[in-house]
Order: sequence, then C-alpha cells, then structure tokens
Amino acid sequence: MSDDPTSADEPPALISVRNLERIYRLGEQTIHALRPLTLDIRSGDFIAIAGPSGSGKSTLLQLLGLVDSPSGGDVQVRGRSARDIGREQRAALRLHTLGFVFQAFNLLQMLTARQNVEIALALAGIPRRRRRQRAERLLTSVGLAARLHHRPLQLSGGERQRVAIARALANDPDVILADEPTGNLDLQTGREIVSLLEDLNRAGQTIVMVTHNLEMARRASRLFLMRDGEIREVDPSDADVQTSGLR
Amino acid sequence: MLTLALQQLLTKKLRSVLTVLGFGVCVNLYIVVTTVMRFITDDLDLQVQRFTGVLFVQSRGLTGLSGIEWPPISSTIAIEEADTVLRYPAVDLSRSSKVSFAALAPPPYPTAPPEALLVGIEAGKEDVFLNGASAIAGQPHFPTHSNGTDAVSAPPAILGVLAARHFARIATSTMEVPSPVGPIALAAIGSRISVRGGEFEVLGIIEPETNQLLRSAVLVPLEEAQCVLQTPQSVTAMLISPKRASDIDPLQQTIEAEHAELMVISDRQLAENARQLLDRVNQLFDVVRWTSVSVAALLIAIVMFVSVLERTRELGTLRAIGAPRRSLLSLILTESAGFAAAGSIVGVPMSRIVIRQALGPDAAGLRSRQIEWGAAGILSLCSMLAALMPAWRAVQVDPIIALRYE
Repeated sequence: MSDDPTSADEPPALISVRNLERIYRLGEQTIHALRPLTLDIRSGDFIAIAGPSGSGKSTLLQLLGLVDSPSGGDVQVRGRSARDIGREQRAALRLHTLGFVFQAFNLLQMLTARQNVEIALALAGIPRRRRRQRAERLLTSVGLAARLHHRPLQLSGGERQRVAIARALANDPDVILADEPTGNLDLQTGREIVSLLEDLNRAGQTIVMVTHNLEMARRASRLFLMRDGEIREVDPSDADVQTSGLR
Repeated sequence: MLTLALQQLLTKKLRSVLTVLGFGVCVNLYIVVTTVMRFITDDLDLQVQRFTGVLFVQSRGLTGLSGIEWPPISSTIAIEEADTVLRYPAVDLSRSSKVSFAALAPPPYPTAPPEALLVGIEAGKEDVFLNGASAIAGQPHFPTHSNGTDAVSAPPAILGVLAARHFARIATSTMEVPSPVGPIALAAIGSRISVRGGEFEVLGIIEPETNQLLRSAVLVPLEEAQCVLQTPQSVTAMLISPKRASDIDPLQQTIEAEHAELMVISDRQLAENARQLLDRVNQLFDVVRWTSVSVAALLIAIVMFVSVLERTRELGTLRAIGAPRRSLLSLILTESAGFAAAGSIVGVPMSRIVIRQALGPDAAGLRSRQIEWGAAGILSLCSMLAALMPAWRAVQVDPIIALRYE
C-alpha cells in the first residue's frame, strides 16, 4: 500500500481511505482502535479483512460504512469526503451506494423475507409494485424463492443471512460491506454464504468482508490482515498467512 | 414504512389493544362531556327563552349555585303577599300566576331540575308555565269547569316526558311511545298516579322537544299542589308578566321596594344566572375534558417511548441501511396515528352508547358529528404532538448499534 495507490490503468476507487485513524478515549486512557491507514477499494474487488478480536477490523468497517466518524484522516465514497457531509447525506450514501450485511442478520422480525428486502427499496422511494418485483427477484437469486413469505424466525441462519444479502443488494449498491457474515453460522452454511458472495463478486459486485475466519477470508481476491489497529495486505494464497496473520 | 408500522402494531397485539382501548376511553370521555356540556347549555338557554318577558318572584335568602335557586323549590311566599303583588296595576293577571314547585325525584345530572318536578299553577293559567308547548297525547290544559262527576274524579296532572317516564313505574296503566333510543313506557293518559300521597289523573303529556324544566314537570292545579304539599297558605314563587314590555323594570323595582322579603328576577337576570351557572359547570367539565386529552397524549407518549427503547437495534439497523431521519420520524408518528385512529374508531361508538345510557330519551338529537370529529381530531393531534418526543428519540439512535453484536 502506498500513500497514493491510484495508478493510470486502475479504475477510480469507490471508497478511498487516507490516513484513517480512530481513537477512543476512556477517561484518561487512549485506545488506538485504528492506526493511520490508507487503502482503496475499487470496483470488482472482493476484499477480506481478517484479524483477531479487538484488532480494529469492525471499527474499519464502521468507518467505511459511514456509521462512525474518524479521529483523523478521511474516507471518500465515490469522491465525497465523509468529513464534508452531514448525517443525513451519509445516510443517503449508505442507502444508495453501500449495502450492509450484519453478523446477527438484523432482519426486522415482524416482516416477511420479501418485506425485509422491500424496506430498503421503500426507503429509496421505489414504487410498491416495482419494489415487490425486485425483492422477489433478489430473493430468488439468493435461492429463497420458496421463502418469500416466511418471517425471520421461520428461517434457518443461512437463509436469514441470504435475506440480509438480498436486502443489501436491494438498491444496487457500489459496495457490499459484510460484517462477520458467517460469524453466526455453522461451517458448512458459512461456506455457502461466502460462495454466494463469490458469485456476486464474479457478477461484478464489489464486496468488503470482515471476518475472523481465515478460511473464509482466503477466498477473497484481496486479503488484509489487521492486528492492534494496523493493517497490511497479504496474498490470499500465501500459505504463511495463517501463522503471520491471526496468531 | 406503513407496512412496518402496521406490522409493529399487529405484532404487539395485547399492547396495541390496550392502548387503543385506553385512547378510545379518552375519546369517549371527551365526547360525552362535550355533548353533556352542549346539552346543558342548550337546555338552560331554552329554559331562559321560555320565560322571556316574565318576572320570577321568590323569597330571598335562597342559595342556588349562583345565588338564585332555579327552580325555586325552597322559596316560601305567603298567599296574601302573593295576592298583593298580583294586584299591581302593571301586572297582566291573565298571564301571571302563583306557583308551587316541589322536587319529586332527584335531578338526573348537576344543573338539571329534578327528574320529576311538581308544578302547581292556577287553573286556566297553565300556559304561563307551558308557554305554548303542545301535548303529544291528551291535552295540555286543565278542565275549565267542575261539576258533580268531577267531584269523584282525581285532580288532573299534565306530565312532561321525563316525569311521565318516571311515573310509568307506579301509574295504573302505561303506554309505549317511540323515541330515538327505542320505545319508552310512559304513564298513560287517564291513568292514575300518586304524588306525595295524593292521587292524580294523567290528562296530557307535553311534547318532548322542550326544555328540561318542562320535560320533568308534573303540572297540577295550584290548590291540589298546596294540598299535597300541605302548604295551603303559601306558594314557592310567582310568574308575573307585565301588561307592557316597558313595565317590566318599574314593576320589578316596585315589588322589590315594597316587599323586602321578595326577590324579583327578570329574564335578563335569569340568563345571567344561567351563564354563571354554566361557567362554573363548564370549568369542571373542561378539567375532565383536558384530563382526558392529557391522559391520551401521555398514553401514546409512554407506549411509543417503550416501543422505541425496545426497538433500538431495529431503528439502528434502519439507520445503518440508509433510512433518513424523516422515515424514522414518520414510522413512529404513523404508529401513533394508528393508535389514535383505532382509538377514535372505538371511542366514538362507545360514546354513543354511554350518552344513550346516561341521558335516555334526552339523548335524542344530541349526537353531533362535529363533536365526534372534533374530539377525535383534538385527541389525535395532542397525541401526535406527544409522540414527537419518542420519535425524536428514535431518530437519534446511532446506526453503529446495528453493527454491535452481543
């Protein structure tokens, strides 16, 4: 990673991070959750950010997703600096440009799978008929054609995460930000979810996935390892990654 | 957002039902109190109008709610004194009468006259009290003569609708008449009723579209009233009409100047008395009304506060996926509006039943869409304003909460 990773033959960055830093203060104690880091997320990337608990990977995702504000440095989403925009504009960027997938799925329990996807479309002002059609198409594409009218409690963990992915895709975002998407799933279901993310990436979807599971992380096209708030990019196929990264 | 709001209301069924019922009770209370206020106001206005141009004479020292006892039940005027007053040249004797009032049943609500009110009036001068009111059955006047056959008959009584309903329980026969609240039983024409130990024959029933004073009247000849009341040498009041309208003030001054123990009340004073009475009663009713508004608003605010606290993660998720503040604001306000709408739907019919039960035949024509819509509107508006606090709390939820995993 250089200070200016953009080169002439690369597409412009969807999300550009420059000297990003996050510090928490607890009384007189200062915690460097994220030490100054720089990276670019380009169209078509499948980025995995791996690291042990407390390494700062979720903090980074929160900053990339504009739900938290940095202590220093900057995040630019499609060229717009997070420093220059207010809460409502950040929300609008999240709605139209970013798609969130949460570890705990975060589906609305009283809504059906289709309604959960529709809610993201409704927030974007899509008319009822069109959002219904799109929600059904998205749920079908993640293998849930037969589960449209099921509520979250009637779905398995893997199915819930598929609904969450469909919801994240609802407004055709530039980037999907997945926070431990397999963290609540058994190994096999986790692999299926990552396969689904791979399929989406092959179809052109940019994905940033935070995980503490190195097996899942190595399936990404770019792998970043985090430790004590510091980040470094490694080769996902490097056999030494396990020993050097998450230990 | 509408779907989400509706689903939320349906998911928490018991809470929603209780909130809707609570709001409905408040709407009901507001409508009932407002309707009764309007009923009392209209009725007192009608009572005053009925006695336009008439002087009411009663004894001093009576304590009504605002200084004038209405009707003057506890007043006492000696017959000789009453006759002296009636002999004043300015008095139109044909339209003036000595009267004896007595309560035969308690009033159905504050400010109302007794449900059954004995009104003894000089025979042939019934119209001084009835003021043109007609009868729905029988006749509104006492017989003008007496003969041998009459000697064995019971003295006549002309009843208002409320009094006729009151005496239906003890009348020798009853009749059913239709009313907006269903058929009601009244003492039948020709039936006998017992008043303070004296027996009377029902001669007529006064039309119901009058005022509460006439509806509750048991109009009997003055001598018969004095007999059953055992006050042969006194009456309780006088209704005096001057010969000319311009005589009313001088006549009032003359009577008061020459009879220190008498109080003369003009129609203007009667109206002022009614206004003062209404002001006091309406103050009380206003307290009840605004209490119902406050309770409804607090109810919605508390329920929505609890709802927002319970759904912090859900609201955080919505913020995280890009929901603007106005969407969360509208979500909470839509839910509040749902409670208010459903509560109004429950409260309005509830109020119709309560008014019907409370006022019986008097409820006829009292239902007012204006009051119903007004009540639903005021309570809903206040509740929506109260819901702004929890709604503001909802939009303050940090989206980062959605990314925390416990």
